[in-house]
Amino acid sequence: MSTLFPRPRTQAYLLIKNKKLKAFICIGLVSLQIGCASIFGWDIHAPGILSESFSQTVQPVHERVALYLPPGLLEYKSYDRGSRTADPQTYHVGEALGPMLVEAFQDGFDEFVFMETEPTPEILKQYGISYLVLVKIKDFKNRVTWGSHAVSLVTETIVLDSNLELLGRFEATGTSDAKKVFAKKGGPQVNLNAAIENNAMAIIQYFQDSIQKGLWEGTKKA
Amino acid sequence: MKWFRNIFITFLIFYFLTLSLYASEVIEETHTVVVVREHPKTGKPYVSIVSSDKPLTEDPFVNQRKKTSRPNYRMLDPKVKPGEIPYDGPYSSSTKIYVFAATLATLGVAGGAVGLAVAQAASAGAASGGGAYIAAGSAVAAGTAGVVVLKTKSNPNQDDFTQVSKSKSLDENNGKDTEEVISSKGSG
Repeated sequence: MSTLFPRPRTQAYLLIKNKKLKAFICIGLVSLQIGCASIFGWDIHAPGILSESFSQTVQPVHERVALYLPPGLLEYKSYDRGSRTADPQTYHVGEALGPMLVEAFQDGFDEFVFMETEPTPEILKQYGISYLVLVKIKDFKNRVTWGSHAVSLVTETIVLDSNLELLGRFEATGTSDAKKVFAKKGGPQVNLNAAIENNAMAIIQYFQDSIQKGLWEGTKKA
Repeated sequence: MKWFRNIFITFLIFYFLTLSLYASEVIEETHTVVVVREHPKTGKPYVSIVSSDKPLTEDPFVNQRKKTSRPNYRMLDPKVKPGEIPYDGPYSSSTKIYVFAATLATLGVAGGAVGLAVAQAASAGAASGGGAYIAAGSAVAAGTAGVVVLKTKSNPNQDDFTQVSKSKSLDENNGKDTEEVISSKGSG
């Protein structure tokens, strides 16, 4: 703007006249525009492996069980930052849940089969599979407060017989709530891992308990 | 006796060859094949049923093949100091978080002093990490980041960590709820 045509000195203009302030505003706006999560946020990948205590708690049951994970489960992510003031966080839930469920079923059943193709009654009968288990993610909750960090995974498990007839449905919740998590290297990752493991534990224990108590014997067809 | 042994061996070979032929015939019915895969983290083998229609069935966990040691959840105990329990799994670098926090905190107070204080706290290490990043987030509104960062230390006697594993039936007929608190330490 030349001196012939001076810019009107509005309040807004005077406010951003300060160069330092202008620079900070620019940084803030750019950060907001291009997505803070990709640059500054926490990208949380759980180790995806069960702890030692899982195999000590769960005893294998002699049964042939197949696990089928619906499409999209392994890619499931949560962007729930847990509180309004917390930094952006991306939780890669599905990529850890898949291997951990496989390992949990390996530990929980003598004969475990992973179904990579869409199951049909013919397939289940051909391979003599008694139970088919489908696990779906229902919800993932994150709570970040001043000192603590709690994550919770809710899944729905559907149990089918070899005719793909419904035997039962149940909901499992795994929660891990700890303090000073973000202060430790791998803290949020291990906290997420713990929540997923607790969920897997709930699934296996409920399922084993139902089989051993013969909960579905009446509805199961040969 | 030698001719008997030869006949017996021939019979065994023929028997197992026939068995394998029968097996392929059965597999053709559902267009599936059985493959043995290795768990991506533990390496423990498991049986997978895959479609035989596709020429090459890729392992669904192929991108996750990285061996890590099993996590020790004692690490989540706030009384356990960072690095006290070894951890070799994935982690996020927290340095960028403090840079972001410092930037935002500085924006909030329109001056470099407080932002610098947060940055220095960040460079000192991750000792007060979780608290500090939340504090800096709050400071955007309050404009007192320096003060809040110093207040993040909590009383170690009140720290604990809780893990809950619970399940409930979604069937109306088979109502069965279970809940198990796996570990809960301290007074909370």
